[in-house]
Amino acid sequence: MRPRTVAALYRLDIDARAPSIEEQRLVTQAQAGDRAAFEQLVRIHADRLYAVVVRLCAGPHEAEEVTQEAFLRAWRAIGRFDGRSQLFTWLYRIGVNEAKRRARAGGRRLRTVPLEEAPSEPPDLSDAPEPRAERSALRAVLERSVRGLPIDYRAPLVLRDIEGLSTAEAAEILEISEAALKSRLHRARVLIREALKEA
Amino acid sequence: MLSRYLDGEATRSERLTLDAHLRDCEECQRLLASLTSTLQALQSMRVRTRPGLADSVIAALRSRSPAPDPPPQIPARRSLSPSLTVVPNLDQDGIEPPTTRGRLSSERRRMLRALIGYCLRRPQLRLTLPLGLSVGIALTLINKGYMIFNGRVDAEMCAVCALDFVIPFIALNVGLLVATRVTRRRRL
Repeated sequence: MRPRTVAALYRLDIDARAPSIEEQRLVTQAQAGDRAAFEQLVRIHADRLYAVVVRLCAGPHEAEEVTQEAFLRAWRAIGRFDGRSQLFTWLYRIGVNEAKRRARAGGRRLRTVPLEEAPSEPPDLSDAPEPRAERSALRAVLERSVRGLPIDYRAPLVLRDIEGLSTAEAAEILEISEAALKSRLHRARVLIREALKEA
Repeated sequence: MLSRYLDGEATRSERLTLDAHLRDCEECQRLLASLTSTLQALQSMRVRTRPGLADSVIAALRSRSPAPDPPPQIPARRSLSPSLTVVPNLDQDGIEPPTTRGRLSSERRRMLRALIGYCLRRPQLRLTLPLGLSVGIALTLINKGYMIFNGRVDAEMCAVCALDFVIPFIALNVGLLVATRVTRRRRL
């Protein structure tokens, strides 16, 4: 799936996401039943998939379970992966569907995660304490706001704005039209902006 | 249009129109600045690594998973019945459906079980049960209401009344499976 604009191209971080010849070789080997090849694919994509599902799950522990489940399903079905979509799109779709299924089953749409559980970047020690405290507070509000979004708005926001996928890729993963994705994305952004303004 | 503008997806004419509007409209300038800073904040939320995650996934794979399903050999579809054949494996969200020719009767049975399992899931039952009940009650009242109100109820009539419920329920499920098939085929 090619990004449509130059801006989208840069957002896509294309070098990191384009399937390499090596990856295609690993997929072919995995389809032939080579578990070691599939394990290499796990090493390539696990963190990337986790980064998405952790925003859709109730917490890091569940996100890890969802990541595991997604790879298990992918392994069982790798023979049917026909290469029409990129491998990471296919994996994301499995992971996102599993995360959404759990979120709906558990009615966790509005559940928030304790801040100490929330994923965070390492602290930047080079700054003065006050701006750091402000940024930390802002980040906490942002985390809460994103987690407070209904899953149907949160998923487009995570894929498009946090993970930097193109509109077409995010729509393909979520199995919705690009127009629907843009509409949900805009709504999600407005909700986040309002939450930030209130804070 | 602001979101498309921010994403670099607005057309040239949309961009020019919006640029012209932004020069005069302070409210939209504020909105754009606010959305831009929201986007920047969101982009800073990326989580990149979780130490040991790949190892734990691989350990789970080794302990829980057998060999993968074989790839499809023959890209043809075999009919089980016109309405049931091409509904994919609905257990596997996001996974392309198998398109192999049905090989053995055991495979057919497996597929039939999967389809029945799909129909008996809670989200599907939430739709089909109330509808089936409503249609069944309506049919019973129309066809046998007179006899029921006159107290002429026997075992044979109860069995016939049961069909008024069962047949619409089956028809609803078949319709649901056909609709699912059509939706998924469109997606693919």
